[in-house]
Amino acid sequence: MSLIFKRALATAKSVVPPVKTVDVLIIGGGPAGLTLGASLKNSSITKDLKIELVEGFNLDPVKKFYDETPEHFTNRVVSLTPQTINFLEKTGSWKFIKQDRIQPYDSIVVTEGLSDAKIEFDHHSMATMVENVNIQSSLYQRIKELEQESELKSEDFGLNLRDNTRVEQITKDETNQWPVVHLSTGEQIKTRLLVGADGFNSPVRKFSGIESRGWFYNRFGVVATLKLEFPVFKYAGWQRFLPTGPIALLPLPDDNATLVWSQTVENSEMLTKIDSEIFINLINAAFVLEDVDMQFYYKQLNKGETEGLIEDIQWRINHATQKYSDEQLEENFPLKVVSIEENSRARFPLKLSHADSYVSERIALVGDAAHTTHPLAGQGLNMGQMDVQSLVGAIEKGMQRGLDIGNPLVLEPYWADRYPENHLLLGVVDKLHKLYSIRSEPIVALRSFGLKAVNSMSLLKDFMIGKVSGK
Amino acid sequence: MLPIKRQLRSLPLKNYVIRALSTSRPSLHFPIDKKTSTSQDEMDHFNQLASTWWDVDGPQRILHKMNLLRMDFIQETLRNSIDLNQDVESPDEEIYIPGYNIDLLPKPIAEQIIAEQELKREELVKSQPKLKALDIGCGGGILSESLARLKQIESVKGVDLSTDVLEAAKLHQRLDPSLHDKLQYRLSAVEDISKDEQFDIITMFEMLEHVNYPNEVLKSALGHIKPGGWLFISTINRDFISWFTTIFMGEHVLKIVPVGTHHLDKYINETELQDWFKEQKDFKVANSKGCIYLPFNGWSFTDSPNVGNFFMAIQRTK
Amino acid sequence: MLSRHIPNVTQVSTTISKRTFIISTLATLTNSQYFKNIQLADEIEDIHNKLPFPQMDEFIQQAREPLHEDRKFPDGRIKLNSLEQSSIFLISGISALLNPANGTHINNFGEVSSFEFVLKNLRDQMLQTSTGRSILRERPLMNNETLDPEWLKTLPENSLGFQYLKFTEDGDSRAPVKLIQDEELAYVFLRYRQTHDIVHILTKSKIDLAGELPVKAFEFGNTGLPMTGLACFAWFKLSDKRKARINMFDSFLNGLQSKPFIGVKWEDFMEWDVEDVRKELGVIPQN
Repeated sequence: MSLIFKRALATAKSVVPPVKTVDVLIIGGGPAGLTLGASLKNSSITKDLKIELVEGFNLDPVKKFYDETPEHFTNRVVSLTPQTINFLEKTGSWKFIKQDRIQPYDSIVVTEGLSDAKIEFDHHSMATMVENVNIQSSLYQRIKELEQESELKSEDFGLNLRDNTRVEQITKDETNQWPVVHLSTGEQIKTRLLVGADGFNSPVRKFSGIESRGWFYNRFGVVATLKLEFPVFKYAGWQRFLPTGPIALLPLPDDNATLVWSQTVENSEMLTKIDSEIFINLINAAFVLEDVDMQFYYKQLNKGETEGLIEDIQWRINHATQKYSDEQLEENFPLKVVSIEENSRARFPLKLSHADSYVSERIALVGDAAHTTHPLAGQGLNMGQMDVQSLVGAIEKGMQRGLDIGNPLVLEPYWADRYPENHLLLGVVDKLHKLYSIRSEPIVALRSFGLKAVNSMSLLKDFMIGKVSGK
Repeated sequence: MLPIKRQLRSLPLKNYVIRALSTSRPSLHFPIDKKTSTSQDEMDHFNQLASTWWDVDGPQRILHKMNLLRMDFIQETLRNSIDLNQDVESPDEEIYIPGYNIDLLPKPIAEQIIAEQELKREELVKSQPKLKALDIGCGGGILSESLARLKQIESVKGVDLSTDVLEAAKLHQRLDPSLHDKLQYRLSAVEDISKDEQFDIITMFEMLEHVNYPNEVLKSALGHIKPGGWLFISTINRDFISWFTTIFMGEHVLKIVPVGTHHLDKYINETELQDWFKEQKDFKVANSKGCIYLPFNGWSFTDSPNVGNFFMAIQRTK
Repeated sequence: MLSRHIPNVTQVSTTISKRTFIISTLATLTNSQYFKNIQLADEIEDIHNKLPFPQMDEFIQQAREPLHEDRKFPDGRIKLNSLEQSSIFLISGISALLNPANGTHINNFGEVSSFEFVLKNLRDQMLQTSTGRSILRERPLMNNETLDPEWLKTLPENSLGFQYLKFTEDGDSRAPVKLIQDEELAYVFLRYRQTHDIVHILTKSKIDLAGELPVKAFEFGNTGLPMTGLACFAWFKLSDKRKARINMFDSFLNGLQSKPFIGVKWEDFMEWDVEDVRKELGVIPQN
């Protein structure tokens, strides 16, 4: 009580800082938020907008990445489609990507854990693995470059990045109803357009009153950065649909790889804690062994019984692979994982969510704030990038029409453009997740037949690659 | 296809505005002194009016949507009037403008050509003096505000004969700090604007069909255009389609505007305007486009300016 | 033609010589299949002209020619294609039914009727426990070498080991698996086969038909192997008096409810009291 009273007094005494007014306030300094900032400044039509970007975390690793590139790969790696890369090229940020840390790949091999069904998609550079921080860094560098090119003083350039700053509260200005964002620094920013690039728990979406629908998958994604037994000859992505969720091993340069493994809540927690040697063996097992083996290992590990487990795994892997020739092994299984980057293991909850709308008066949502998806298709970040591209287009058009860019008439085309496409993708990914969570034998037989059938139809496969890679 | 009658939307004002630009009925104008004293009740009324007028999901949605098309028409006309190679001294500096549809080229090449053109166009626009605009029949200021936000516009003057809508326009203007210095509203008929005031752009959208003597109004407007300056107008062709959409559907069936808003005999054919402007010395019609309202889809341009609603851009050549 | 390892084929022809059409159909079927097999084409070059029935004896003769080595797995199992498997299924099935005393038919039928998904299911039961996995990995055999009779003899009379010794004294060692194609599943089947005597001991069943049938019913419940289920139909051949003495359904339920025998490491239970073993696994003995 007395604390509250003291606080109240303190507030009463403190001088209210002046409210800063901007045209666009972006909440969130992730890839979506930074891309939006960079693209708006890159466009001749929108470059004079006064933009503020607020990020809750420390952006120092992003700022330093370009000049002081860390030796090891980070664990947040995404698969970029050619369409996304094309957009980043247009934004002018792609040239700041550390090219020696990205890895394009030409095929993806999808298998499943309950049958021997397999489908392989081949397309030159169908996707590129890039670390999140590499993308963010390239955008940050591009923003710095644009600032230099503008020959303006940095306070006049009109894109101010502030990190370590949280959104405390969002209110509306009394006179013109513009959103006013109260920051953890005590400052307030009033904005013509407030963009939520602030992730799944988007404060901006909550302020806007836009409903988001969806569910938790009861799965976590376990990520890790790994080393393979030797450098890959043919760069491919590997994905196996296990009944607990898909496991994906995606290539990074040389003998590096990155893992995304969807797992049950219990298993995911166990996977982040177990001895790394066992973890590595378990990954190798997951691409080769049958469900019954994996279930046994999960059971043992959840009980904390690890004795003889590695020998058991190696016995089963040898047993399962002995009938294959070297060539067949190469065709059907990824290279063995031999070690793991220290501290690179982490997990995050998997959710499906889709906002009813991406826009309302003076509000736009992009990326995860508008939609989250299961990572099995690697589309989450790409969807966000396409959102940004579309939103920038809508703002450009609105500016050319002399409209207030907070006007729903400016923002609605963005929503109309992106919602159906995102909805379709979210739906397909969701159905895939559900289809592959089923253990029932007739369903397994049916889906395996379907997968094999699709695998033999190259035209359909090309179409699907086109859809996913955005060509 | 539904007609846009900006002034008529605020129903109590209908009668004043119908003849907004006709000097023959001065008695219908609000007394000038009306706006000098504003009571709280009136302020509430204006606020109410401003918020309905500016609610893009409200009764004026079709008008807000049409404003998008007006701005597109103005921007397109201005853009196309720029000679990208006007200041070029040697052919090397020339910006390449293919003599055919640019989409026929491979996408990357087409994109590069367009980007080059845009850059040059931007440079030229930047180097030119900024433009002064006059919006006749500005109503609540939907078009005036849009014009005022454009970079190449120096100032916009919006005139109307209804104090109510002008008050609403001013209230709304205050909400956007970027408009403070660029936009002013005046209670005035076009005939009453001082002859000294000259503009680069004059707009007169959805107005001629409500005027008894369009030719007088047009003449007054032309008198305020600077050499090289523009007049943008829109009105409705006098044909069956227009009757069906604006009067039969708009007034009687869908009841979007009150019955009696439109009179088919006041509609003006695009060809008649073309002919009229041919007689005006130093003026030429630079652009003319039809437009159509599709439910669920909004307004879009058509290739037939002589059917239904149409836009026209007239440039003063000397 | 099916190989010297399946001498029963000759017996089929003698036992049911009247049912010529079945044999000739089978022969034709198997023959045509063999024609596709280039390795064997030389051997059976002229069979085509000699069939059907009148040349049956010669055909059988041909079938008893030694197999090419590449028709065998290194451990002696025989490589079969699916048509061969179904032929053996039919022939040995019918023979076993008509001549239940012949163990070879029953063995062969047991193997070919144990379809992959059934055996996989059994194997998966083993893979679900540490013990089951260690059995699969080490693949212990239950024979005189691994279970030293001298040692078993020293165990108490009511121990599983001693009982086992008593039961297998006749030297009734279990036949090797010949016809199961997957080597791991072949071991699973062998393990099942070697467990058979234990089932007798634990359910207190004799080795006559009236004792064998409840064991089959128990095994059917416990393993789900089709042959064990089919064998239960022999119940109809029993006299009414014997029928009344045994309860097949109870045995089946008992097998269903007991722990999966396939995953039990019997070697570790040899010193246990039989009663304790029954309790541990949930087995209720006959009477």
